[in-house]
Amino acid sequence: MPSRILIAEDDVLLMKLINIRLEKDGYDIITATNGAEVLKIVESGGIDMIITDIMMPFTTGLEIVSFVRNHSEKYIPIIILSNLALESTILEAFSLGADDFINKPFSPNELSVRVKRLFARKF
Amino acid sequence: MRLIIRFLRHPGIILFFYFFCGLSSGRLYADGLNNIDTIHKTEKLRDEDSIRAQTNNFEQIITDRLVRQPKGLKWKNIDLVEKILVFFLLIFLVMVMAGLSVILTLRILKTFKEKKALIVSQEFEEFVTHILFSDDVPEEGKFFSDQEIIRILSFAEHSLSGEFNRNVIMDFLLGLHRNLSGESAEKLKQLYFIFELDRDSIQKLKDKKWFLKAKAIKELEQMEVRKAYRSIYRCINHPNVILRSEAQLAIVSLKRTNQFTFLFNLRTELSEWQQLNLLNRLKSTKDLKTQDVPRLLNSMNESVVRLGIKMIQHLNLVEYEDNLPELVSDPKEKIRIDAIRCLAFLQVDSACELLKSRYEDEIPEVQKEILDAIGSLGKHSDLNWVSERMHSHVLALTNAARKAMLQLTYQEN
Repeated sequence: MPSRILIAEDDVLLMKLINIRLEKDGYDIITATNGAEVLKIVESGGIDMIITDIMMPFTTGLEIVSFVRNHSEKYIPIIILSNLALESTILEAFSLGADDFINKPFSPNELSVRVKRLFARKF
Repeated sequence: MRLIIRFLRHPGIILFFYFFCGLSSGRLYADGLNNIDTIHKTEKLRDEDSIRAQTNNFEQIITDRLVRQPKGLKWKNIDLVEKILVFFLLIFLVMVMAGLSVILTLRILKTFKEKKALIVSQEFEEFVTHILFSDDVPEEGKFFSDQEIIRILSFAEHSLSGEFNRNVIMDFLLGLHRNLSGESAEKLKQLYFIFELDRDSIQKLKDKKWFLKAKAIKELEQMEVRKAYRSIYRCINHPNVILRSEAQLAIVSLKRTNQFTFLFNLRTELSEWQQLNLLNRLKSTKDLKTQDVPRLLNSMNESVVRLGIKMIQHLNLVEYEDNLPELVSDPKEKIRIDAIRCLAFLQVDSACELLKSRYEDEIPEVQKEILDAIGSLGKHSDLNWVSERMHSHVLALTNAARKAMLQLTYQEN
């Protein structure tokens, strides 16, 4: 059964691009355009990885990381995408429990490799 | 008055007069009341007569007027004031109707354009995702395979006709390019040139509207269209501040060498914000050649001199620190302040004596900067000098002197 990845990104075109790139790698993709949707999907379960932007409506990416680490029974790897390349933001993301941080602009091929690497790790 | 009379005619009051004031008093009281009644009745009749007479007069006036006026209302019989009012009322109504029509038409046009843009953008989305993640392997040195080229040309023929479609696709392509890097970003850049969107951007640069020019500059800068350099250079002194700011930043990005030499020809002022933006852009420039930085310090443009000082400070150009002491005596206050701060930042100890010698001749704002610099550059032997400045009547100077004392004492320890 293919792994399920949740992509949380409010830029619809970018989200579609990531969706298509990861679907090519054989993953099952679910999308969300705001933080509230993400929390609902996480609560319903069945997610194997989350790729989230930081700046989103209703709930930020960092709040999603914090929620998932505190409420999810199984460990879900989380990748943060952001154009906020501040050191403080990166440090905060890792301290909350994010597994990877990718600055925008980013390469979809690079994202694909990082996703594979995270799935290869045993949690 | 009537209430009082009614009260006085109460049987109890009359009986009072009869029984307590005597029969004659009672009769007098009753006669008095009758007289009041008669007077009132006479007055009432008189009032009624006069009212009736007035009413009759009024009716006569109305009748006369109606008889004089012919039947129906004619324009020539209406007063001038009323004519003017009617005229303005008609004008107002016409303007309201025209305004509503314009708003409705624009709204319909906008909705139509949005729908059209959505269709075009959906076609482009489908096309670009196939191109970016295609399994075809291009030949070495090429970005696209032959199949992809055919698809691209087919899309261009079908969807790139008309200015509207081209603008929509341009916005999408550039928006996507901003978020991507690597091979995907390169492919998008190639698409930009294959679709000849660079011509659209250069054409937009010639538009009279400043915001379209600014947009074009951003597009050309993002796609690194170096052939547009000369056209963009003409805008660096434009009267519009946003346009010239964009042009200045684009020049730094597009030029491979001498990225800041355009500042020698700058006739307009650089705001603090623009100075920081340019500095930030220069800091991220690869292989920045800095041999011309001292020339900036000799500019007639105060803001260019200040940017030069900031470059020395933030790019750590210690080889030019000898140019700074001269600027401590510059006629412009802001230049003196920037020079003092830069000397303190670069830890030019030899400037200490110069700063102390300048102190007494300076305004309080510059004196404060000198005290801050002495705190950073000075030695234990400067403690006396600083302590003498602690008793200034200007609070900011007293505080700066105290801070410098603490720094020098801490240094000593």
